[in-house]
Amino acid sequence: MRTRFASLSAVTFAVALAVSGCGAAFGGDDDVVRVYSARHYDLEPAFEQFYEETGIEVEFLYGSDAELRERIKAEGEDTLADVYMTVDAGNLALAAEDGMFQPMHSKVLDEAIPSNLRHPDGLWYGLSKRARTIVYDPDAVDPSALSTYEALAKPEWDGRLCLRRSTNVYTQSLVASLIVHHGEQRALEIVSGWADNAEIFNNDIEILENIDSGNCDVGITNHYYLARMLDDDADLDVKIFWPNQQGRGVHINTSGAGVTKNADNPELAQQLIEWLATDGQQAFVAGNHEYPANPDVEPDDLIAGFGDFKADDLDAEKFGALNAEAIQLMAEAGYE
Amino acid sequence: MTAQPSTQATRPPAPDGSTVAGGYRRVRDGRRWWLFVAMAVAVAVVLPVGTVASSILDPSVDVWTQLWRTELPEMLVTTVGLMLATVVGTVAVGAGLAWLVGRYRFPGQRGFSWLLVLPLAMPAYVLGFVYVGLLDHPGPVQTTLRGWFDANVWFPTVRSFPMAVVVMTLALYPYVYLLARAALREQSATTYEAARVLGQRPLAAARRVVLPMARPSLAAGAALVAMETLTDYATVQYFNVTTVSVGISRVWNGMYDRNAATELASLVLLFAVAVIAFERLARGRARYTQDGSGARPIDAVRLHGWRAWAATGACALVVAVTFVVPVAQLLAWTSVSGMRGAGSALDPRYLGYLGNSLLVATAAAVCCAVLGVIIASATRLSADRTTRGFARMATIGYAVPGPVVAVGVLLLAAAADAVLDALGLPGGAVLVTGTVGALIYAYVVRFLALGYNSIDASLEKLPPSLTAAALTLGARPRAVVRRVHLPLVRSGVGVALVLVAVDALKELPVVLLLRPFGFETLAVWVFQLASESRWEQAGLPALTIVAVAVLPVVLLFRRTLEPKEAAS
Amino acid sequence: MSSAVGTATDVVLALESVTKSYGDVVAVDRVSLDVERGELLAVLGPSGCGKSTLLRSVAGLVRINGGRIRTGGREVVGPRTWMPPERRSVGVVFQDSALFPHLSVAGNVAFGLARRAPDRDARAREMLALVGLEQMAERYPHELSGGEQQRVALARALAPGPSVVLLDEPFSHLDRNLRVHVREETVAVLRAAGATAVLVTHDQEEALAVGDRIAVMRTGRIEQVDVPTTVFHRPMSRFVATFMGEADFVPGSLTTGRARTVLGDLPVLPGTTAGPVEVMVRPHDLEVRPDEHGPATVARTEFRGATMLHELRLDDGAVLRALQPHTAPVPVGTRVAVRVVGDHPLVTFPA
Repeated sequence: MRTRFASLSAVTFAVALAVSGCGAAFGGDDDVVRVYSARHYDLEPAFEQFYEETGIEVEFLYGSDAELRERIKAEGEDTLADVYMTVDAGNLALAAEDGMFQPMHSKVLDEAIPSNLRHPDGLWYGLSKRARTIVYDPDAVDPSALSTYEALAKPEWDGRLCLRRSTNVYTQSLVASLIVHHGEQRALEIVSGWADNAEIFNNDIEILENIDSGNCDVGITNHYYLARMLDDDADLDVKIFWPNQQGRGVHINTSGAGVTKNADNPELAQQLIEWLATDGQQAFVAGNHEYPANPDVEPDDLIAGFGDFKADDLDAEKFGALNAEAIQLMAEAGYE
Repeated sequence: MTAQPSTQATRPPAPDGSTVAGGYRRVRDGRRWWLFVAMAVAVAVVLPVGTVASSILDPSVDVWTQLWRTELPEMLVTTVGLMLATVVGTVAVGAGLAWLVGRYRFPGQRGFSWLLVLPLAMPAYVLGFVYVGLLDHPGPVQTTLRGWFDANVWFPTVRSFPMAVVVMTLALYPYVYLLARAALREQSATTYEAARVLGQRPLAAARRVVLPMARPSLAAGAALVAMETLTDYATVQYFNVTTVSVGISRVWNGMYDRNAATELASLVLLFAVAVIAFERLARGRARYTQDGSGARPIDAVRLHGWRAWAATGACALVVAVTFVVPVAQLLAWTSVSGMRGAGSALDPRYLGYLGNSLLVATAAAVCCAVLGVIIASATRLSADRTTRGFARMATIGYAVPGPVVAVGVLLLAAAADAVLDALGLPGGAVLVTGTVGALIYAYVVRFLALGYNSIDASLEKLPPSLTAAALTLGARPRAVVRRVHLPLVRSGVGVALVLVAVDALKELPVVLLLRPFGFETLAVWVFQLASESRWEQAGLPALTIVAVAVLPVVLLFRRTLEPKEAAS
Repeated sequence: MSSAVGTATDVVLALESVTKSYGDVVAVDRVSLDVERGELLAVLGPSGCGKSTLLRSVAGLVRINGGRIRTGGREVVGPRTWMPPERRSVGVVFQDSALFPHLSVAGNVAFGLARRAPDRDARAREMLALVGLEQMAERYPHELSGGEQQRVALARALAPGPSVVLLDEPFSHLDRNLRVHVREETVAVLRAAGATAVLVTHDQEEALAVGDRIAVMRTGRIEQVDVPTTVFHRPMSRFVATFMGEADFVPGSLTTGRARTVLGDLPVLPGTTAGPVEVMVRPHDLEVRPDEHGPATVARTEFRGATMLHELRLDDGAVLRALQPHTAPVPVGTRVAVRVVGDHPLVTFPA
């Protein structure tokens, strides 16, 4: 009995040790690029295609942005990450600010990615674009009543507007762009108007479903959520509207990647990012109906059907740095 | 009869640890080992939390003033409100069901006795998103109602505080139910009968004797619920309820301000201290010692007619709402997603993630149970305040939000790495990059209280003279634990194992931050899919978590919770 | 080694100035005691006098603040020594028997025996036979009566052959008839096993019946240790006198060897210095007979079976009690003369 008691604890520790050994084993290979990704959309097909074309294997770790950044910082020189990939300009800007990246001196990338979708020193490059736009219920809303993000703050939309939670980085970036364009005072007025009018949802799919069911009349979501839902149900009772076409254009956000400062394989990492920006663009964006960052690559048919639009070419770097202010502003405005 | 001569042969040989020095016989005291282990565990638990909490010495004033000006007051009110409402709800539902099932006989009662534990396998965040999906305006319930009546049919607001309380109550009541059930089973019939013959009607006897005697268990259950509510940040968000823990995730994920997040976390710690104080208070100074294993349990009363069916109906309703309906919804989602794409059964990652989940959960559960037994026994073996103080320290982790524990462990690992580097030793990278060891360490910090409390509550019911008797019979402390405590608290250890394993399986923030490179678990996967609203794909892994968690719950509680037949 | 000393005097348990306090409350106050091999010492005292704490200190269940304890010739507690209970070779029979509910009777008895000892089972059977429960070996504690449980507890405590067995009010849970029976059995078993034992009790009758010697405790101190007859007949304090049995005190003044009292000149034990004293008289020492000129009146009577207790009120208001054969009762209200029977000298205390 005594031995059983002792061996039980021994086995536990042995298992723990063995498994930590497994964890460590990931550090061994050389022909591998390791990606820390806060982008959750199916990356596997793109990485598999990259492997088939180049023989370079990609391992990746998902996590939330803050967590992955904390982790890369904590790991310091020992980090396994070669590439940090994330979904929002704000996150990329913060990572750059924290000195997590090393510059890529890549002609390929400079040619493939427009200057407003990349860091001036080549610390990170955008790889796809998402439009955060207005969606509406065609049974309840005449599109002629829609114009701009700002107009949704008017009292006529009271109880009709559906928005996503303030904790979401897309919401934060949109508000940050309002701060850049209008200054804090005016931005606060707009966001307060939204907060007064809106019911708050946890994610874009919920907003789209509530528009479809007639609970909401109008909402703000990323375009690809609508595309994804249309994939499943072409008769969805939701239409897309491109706002601010008379002004600055639709708010665009970027998903992108950079090579970490302490990367073990910076060359391979750069090769992966270059591939994703060029030959791999299609594979990278297609699974999620995103707009390619590379202007030479065509968007897929479904989102092409949304029509052309004028995009806000505000520097992602600029509003990306304002996320914290955006959160405080929303807190002040009573935006949940 | 000459008994004495044969004694010498059977007496255990004198321990070699004793030496003779200067006329004094100095004996190595076995208790030091226990004290040392208790101390080591306490330090190991406090260290990561303390590392993070020490950041309060350098407060970010801006964040505080900003928070106080805007959200903080409301957050505090919401947190306290949610905690109180959920505790009241879970105690009412949990203790009520325990009494119903433990005291009465009605159709299906034996089955419900353990079926009512099933929601333990249902993570609150899964229950949350299932019910938001079901009850939301586009969901099947409201759609059906609109079909029957008209498009503007009234329906309670889904994303609201009351709904959050309801869902939290449904997800968490099993903690109270389990402990209340165990308390009822271990209560001897004599005290209840004493109350009856003292002129108390059955319900009054229950209220005046059974309930007060079950109070330590109810308090422990309520404390567990309060802690879970306090540290939850996924479920409440589905219902637009902003607690302090949600605030933490906001300043963490939004402002990237570890200091502010940590300082908010210290606020949560304050609440936790209050909860623990409340539990101690509710437990009171009374010692509840009743020899449960030998005692005859309270006789069950057979219900007849409508009462019987009402009892059956109530149990069936709870099981349906907390388990059957959510599982059905997850199945429906799974069948939509079918066998293609992420989350399908054919996905090669699926089995690997499942294995990882099981491995981590099992290791954490065994560690917590072993340490729980050691610490709970240590407080009995040497009845000094130091050991009890260490025991209390060792259980603070449950009141600390997962991300705080994880960051603490990460900081410690970084410090260990620095030490290794300074010594010129390799291995630091592995430490910092996260190992399953670090993950399990964090889980032990976080869930030790869960294991310890159930074991301690069982041990509390043994008369102290049992320990004394075993010691005076020459059993060393380790043997006392093995030969007396363990066999008598087996049910407590079982409960500890299951509670920790299921919680570790469902746990999210810690594994997100600490898992080794490429080490994914089902919970992480569900979270990734759910955070992108891919409910259909999240269905299967979520269902798997539920299924895996159900297995130990059924295996363990089915045996221990079925009504014990009156002995003799 | 100090065991040599222990063997020479044959003292199995030695307490030297043992003190235990909880904060300001002194539970055991400088208690010194020796218990010899094969002796059965009864520690008697009212509840809260510290007798249980004393016993637990010997067992190692309580850490004393000062003093030394030696068992079997080894120092188990001292200024520089503390031996945990499991090393002390002390058997304890607890008030609630504390049988392990998950073990059978045999399992309980064998608990303290080395697990690999070849004669383990035999020894357990032997001990069970000693307490007359060998046919119950496979039963579980909850299947036994209270008396049987106590006997198993005794067998369990004796099985490892401890230097000393401690019994903590072991019969207080039993009903009166059973108590006497189990008590007699227990003493017989302890004698048969040749065990040295300390029994803690608050019942003076039990102490008198069981103890080879009695130690009377009061508020943490030992007032007197001696053989039962001495403690009963020659108590060293009024407390011991009253605690050991019914006793009344008659004021008087002491001259050489006799005390002058209202009951006459009484023979007293030497020891008390001359002057005012109180003479202890027990009810059975007194005889009454109706006498109109007597110094007392019968205030109350109480039937006690073979005897009748008469409560006597003296003219100065003092109350004495006297036992009369039930064949010679004196009615209440009768004026009586009181005589001290026998010729044994009485105990006096300074007034």
